[in-house]
Amino acid sequence: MIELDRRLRLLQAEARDWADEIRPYALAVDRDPDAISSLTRLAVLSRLGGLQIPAEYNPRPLVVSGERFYLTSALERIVFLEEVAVGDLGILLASPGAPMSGVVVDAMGSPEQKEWFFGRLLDRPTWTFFALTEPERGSDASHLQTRLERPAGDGPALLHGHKRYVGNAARADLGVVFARTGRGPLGLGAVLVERDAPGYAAEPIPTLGVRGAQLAAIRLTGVAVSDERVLGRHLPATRRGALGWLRTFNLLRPVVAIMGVGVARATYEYLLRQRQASGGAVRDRLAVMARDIEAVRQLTLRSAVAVDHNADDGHLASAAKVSAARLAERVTVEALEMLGPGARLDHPLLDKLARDARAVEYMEGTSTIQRLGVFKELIRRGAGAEPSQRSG
Amino acid sequence: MTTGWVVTRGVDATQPWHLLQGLAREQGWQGALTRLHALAGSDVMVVGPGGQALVCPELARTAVGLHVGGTRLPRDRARERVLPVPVAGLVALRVRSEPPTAAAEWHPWTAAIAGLRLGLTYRLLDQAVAHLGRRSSGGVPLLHHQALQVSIADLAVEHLELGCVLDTAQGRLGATAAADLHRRITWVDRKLLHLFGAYGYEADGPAATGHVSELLADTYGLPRGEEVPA
Repeated sequence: MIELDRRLRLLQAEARDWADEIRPYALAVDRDPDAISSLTRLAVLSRLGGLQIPAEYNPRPLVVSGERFYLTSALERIVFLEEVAVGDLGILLASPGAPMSGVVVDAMGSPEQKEWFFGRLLDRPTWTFFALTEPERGSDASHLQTRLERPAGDGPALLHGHKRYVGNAARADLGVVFARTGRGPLGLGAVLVERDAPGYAAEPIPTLGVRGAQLAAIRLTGVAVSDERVLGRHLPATRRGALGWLRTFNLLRPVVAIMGVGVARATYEYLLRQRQASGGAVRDRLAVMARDIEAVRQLTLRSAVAVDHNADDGHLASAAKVSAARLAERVTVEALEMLGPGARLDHPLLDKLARDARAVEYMEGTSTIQRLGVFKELIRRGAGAEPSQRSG
Repeated sequence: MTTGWVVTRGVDATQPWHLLQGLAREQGWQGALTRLHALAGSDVMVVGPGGQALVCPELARTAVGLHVGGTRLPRDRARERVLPVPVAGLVALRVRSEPPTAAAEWHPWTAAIAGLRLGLTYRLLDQAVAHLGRRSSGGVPLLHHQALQVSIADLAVEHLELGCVLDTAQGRLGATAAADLHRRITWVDRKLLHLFGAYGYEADGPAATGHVSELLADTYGLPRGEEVPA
């Protein structure tokens, strides 16, 4: 069992305060994603965007009782974001900052690119986007159709293509777009794009839940990308292509998993506050629910420790993400059952949690993709082989 | 070797649950929901045991009466409240604040709602197969992948089982059986929605069908412990 030390408990307590601030606005942002712009005084919206930035680029980390937090390790992130997700996942996903694109910029950006990108985030609360998923092809990086082409002559490379289900794309100032730059796995790259670039257009897609995140479709029609906006130009080809940035996704997956845990916990805590949930049978069901949530939370903590130790070791993160997606759906549906007929309309927050829970499945690769990751690792470690030939 | 005889009892196609099942599969939730209310009479909203109703905007505008269990009551707009739902074209209303209606009065509607939901889940399977049939991965049509074929077959088997439960009930579904049926439909729907990928999360796509279906079970389900006469 993983227990948090004093330092992480301080971080957790701070996050709970931030979460308490956003909880009253969960339904308002669900009904109207633009309501987020009126909440910028709240810490999640005013300060989270200035975190999750590497220490060398962030002079203003979060300081709690003398301890400094940058929220750049997977463990710090999940300890903090679990509590914020319990407050409200929709607002967490709608908050300014670069929780996903910042990881790629940190892994592949040059010092100048990092200075520029993170500087923008520190300047004022700034939304960013992370444009990987494409219509019809999902998040399968090997089949990206968006292309970065260098025209004949001296002009900059031009970006053409379509992206879909990109959080905050319609309100973001800048972000990362993944595109094909040539053939094969090395012919994939990532570039920095600003919203006001000619040829960039983003249109919100109404979704069933996490509506605050305002997922959007992006159309890229000849967006000019100068050389200094192409990530990883200073890196060897093996590190700037998909092989290079796919490993960074391992760092993000525990975060998605903990969001599922957060939704499940929010649901459980909501049930505890209901008077109806007081009978003996209900207490038993709540006890089982609490144990299930803690188990997936522990798995997610283990996955974060694993990727912090080795960014290539993402199989636990895949497993945690599969478990968390299942957990969030199961707990929210069961909670509605426990409250009986009419619960969805009489308990709008619970209904919202049930809708938000389903988002975990689709973020950072579906459960099918994650299961394949778990399977590959199982085989790599020698499952089915003689004990002496197993590696783990 | 001696073989036995079986008697296949025909399904009465005029039964509300059967009618709504077919309509839901062919026309989707809007057509089936409109018909559900029409079965109670013209310009009437069927109200759930908890005093809530799910209707299309047209009926929300024109209804003059409420069908509460087996009783018709006048509509009192002054006491109504519109409840927010994330599905375009669906109106949720709280029309009464009285205690839940006695279960016995709910007998005909319990099976009708289950039939409607079963039709919607069949529709989701139809749409999922059509959706996947248009997609490929690595140059191979998705429907050629054996793992996906097995997943879809599992859901089809679950559908067949659920259909048999409702057929066997012949329109007389007890509260416990209905709750179990609804739970199973909810989970088969969610597995079906996963087959669409993120498209299954768009508010205007199949997610709306799944969400309306869950709302129907919730709004028109019987209170826990209430049993209708079998």
